[in-house]
Amino acid sequence: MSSNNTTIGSGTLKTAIVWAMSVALGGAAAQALAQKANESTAGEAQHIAATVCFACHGPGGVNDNPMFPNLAAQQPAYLENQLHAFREHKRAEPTAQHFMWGVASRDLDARLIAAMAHYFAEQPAAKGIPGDPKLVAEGNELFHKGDPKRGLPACASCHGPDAHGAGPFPRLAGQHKEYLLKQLHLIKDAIRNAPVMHGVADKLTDSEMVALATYLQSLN
Amino acid sequence: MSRRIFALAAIAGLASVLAAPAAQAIPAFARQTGQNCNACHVSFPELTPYGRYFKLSGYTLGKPLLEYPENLPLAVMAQFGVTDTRNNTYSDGSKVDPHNGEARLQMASVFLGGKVNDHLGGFVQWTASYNGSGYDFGADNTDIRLVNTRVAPGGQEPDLIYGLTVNNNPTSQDVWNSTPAWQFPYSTSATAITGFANSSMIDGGTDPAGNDLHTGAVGFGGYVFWKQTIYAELSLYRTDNGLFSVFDLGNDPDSTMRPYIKGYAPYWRLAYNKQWGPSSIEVGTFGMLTDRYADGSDGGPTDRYKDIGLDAQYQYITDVNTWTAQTSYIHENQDWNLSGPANLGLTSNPNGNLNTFRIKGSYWYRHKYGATLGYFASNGSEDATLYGGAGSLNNKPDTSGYILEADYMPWDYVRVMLQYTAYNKYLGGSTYTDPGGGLRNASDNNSVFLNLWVAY
Ligand code: HEC
Ligand code: HEC
Repeated sequence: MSSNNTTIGSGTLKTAIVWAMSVALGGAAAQALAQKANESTAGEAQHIAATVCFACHGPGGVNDNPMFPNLAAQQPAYLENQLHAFREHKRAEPTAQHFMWGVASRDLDARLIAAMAHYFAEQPAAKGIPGDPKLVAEGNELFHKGDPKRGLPACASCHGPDAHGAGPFPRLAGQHKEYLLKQLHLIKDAIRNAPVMHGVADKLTDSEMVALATYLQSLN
Repeated sequence: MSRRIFALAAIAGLASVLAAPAAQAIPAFARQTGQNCNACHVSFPELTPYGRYFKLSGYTLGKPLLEYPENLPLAVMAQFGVTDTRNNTYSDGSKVDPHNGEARLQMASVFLGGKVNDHLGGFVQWTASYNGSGYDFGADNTDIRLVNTRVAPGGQEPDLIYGLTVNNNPTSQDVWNSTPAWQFPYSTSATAITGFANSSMIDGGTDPAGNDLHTGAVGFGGYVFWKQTIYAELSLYRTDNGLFSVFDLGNDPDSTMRPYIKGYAPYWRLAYNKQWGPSSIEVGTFGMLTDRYADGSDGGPTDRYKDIGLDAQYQYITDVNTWTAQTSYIHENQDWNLSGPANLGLTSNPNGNLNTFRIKGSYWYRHKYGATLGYFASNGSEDATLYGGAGSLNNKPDTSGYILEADYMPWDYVRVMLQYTAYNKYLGGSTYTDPGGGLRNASDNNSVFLNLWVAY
């Protein structure tokens, strides 16, 4: 057997040298590939969106998996707030911890967050998905009028008449129903820390949440 | 039937049992990405779509090793188990599993893994596994990748991921859990009889002299994943001797029983992948052509194994409910030019074939409580020496049975597993000749395995 002819000492040394050289070569090749990625911050943000975020949130921040919120056409100020909240561990529901804390701290830095927010805000929004007309009508009513008797404000007063959001108030139109429902519960139970919205969610019943989420998912 | 054949068959059986509990999840990657295990795993080692992407992109998401020194690129894993075999005594009074009913460390692994830079990453695993009397320590799975992800100008997702992998176990580089290296069962007892009496070479099976390929080989492959839809790979596996012995550190490289591959054995893989909503499917095929010296020589005649596999996977994953299913079918053609009657006489026939089939379905509730039902069946051509010599009454390898498993994960890094394996057939039928010379029922091999699996 040819391999057994070399003595252990010189064989090990030779092996070590060849491996050290191969590792150096592989590293150099990888480094060469990495060079060209250094463009503008906006270019970098687009690259990260297309190689990291896309895997869960879908291309351009639109996807059909209820676990992962659509990000397209979201308000840039809201996106920035959320990414900072993930980074600083202020938004701390289990799914935020499991999926987003790492992304926001390992794949992004403070410099990139504004560029990421800008990128997703510019993408075309997800299309609305029609739902049960009765629920949609009920959601529509609550969204625009609230219920003054109970002190429930109209959602539209913060999230905008077409639910497209404004500044720190998120766009809700076309968002996955399951995701919206889950967030309303998380905010109501104060598991997701969102003080302003908590005051609102606290007053919603389970069936109202279903109607609102069905309505919001139906919007373009 | 000669004693020597019996001894070899016994060694072959034992080796295939010991080769089984290879190991999985890598918490070092969770630290690198800052994400939870369940971002990448349904339950380790089964990968989610994101986990597949992470592996195919060369483990290069998250922070590079050197920029994150406080994040140790090391991980450890251990399994403590106890097994109870239904009938633990052979007809001559000897024990099937001398450690039946004893709790012990089944295996322990150390991983070194991480991202070197945006295009280079991988892991190396060393494992100590229980061999019935002590622990064998040596190189286990290794996968190192050099990868590039191509996004068209202005594109929103990669249209091509392509890369090179160096690994030491055929199919360990694969990202679907329907190919041998990472398929169910994800852990089995180190001492009881589990799995098929005989498996194909690509499935961790042994040649007639009792040697398998797992960590006896090193492979160099190139792959492409086009639009997250078509995966194609071509790899070449060679014996990991000489320069390549680092892939087999500790695994007794100078043993005369060492499995030598003649030249380079080609491995290929083609798969179709699709994702919609919380669902994903994969349908694929894989195979390998291996010429081997079974007797430790590296010249003269060889045995040839032609393995062709078909596989499929379905997954439905949400926070609350997760359903997954995998199946595979492998057909192997064997040409015993070396082991056969003309040379070593380890088989009666100059050639043979073996078919193995597996299917399993799992349900997980909140990534915490899991239940799995699996079925396995094999059949193959008759061989009086190979299978008759091992105890088959009809000279066939046919084995079938099912596995029931319940899992509980109280924390992310701890899994409690209760596994029941039941046999309908073992070595050709519902009865076979045991090593003591008497008749044994296949169902005498049924076993219960309670396992505590921790990783950090
Ligand atoms: C491994 C999957 C995964 C990846 C990769 C990922 N995310 Fe997320 N992201 C999630 C999940 C899950 C949520 C919802 C968390 C929750 O339910 O609280 C989320 C939520 C968000 C939110 C909050 C949305 C809202 O409406 O409140 C933002 C913003 C976000 N992600 C941005 C990003 C960006 C930017 C990237 C890429 C740098 C990214 N994510 C990569 C899984 C992921
Ligand atoms: C007083 C202003 C205000 C009103 C009224 C209001 N919201 Fe909000 N809402 C907010 C703010 C601010 C946030 C973002 C919280 C954060 O930054 O984490 C929010 C977040 C949400 C979210 C989470 C979105 C996401 O992408 O994660 C949902 C869902 C939501 N609101 C639904 C509603 C509904 C339904 C109503 C009406 C019943 C409503 N809101 C009324 C201020 C308001």
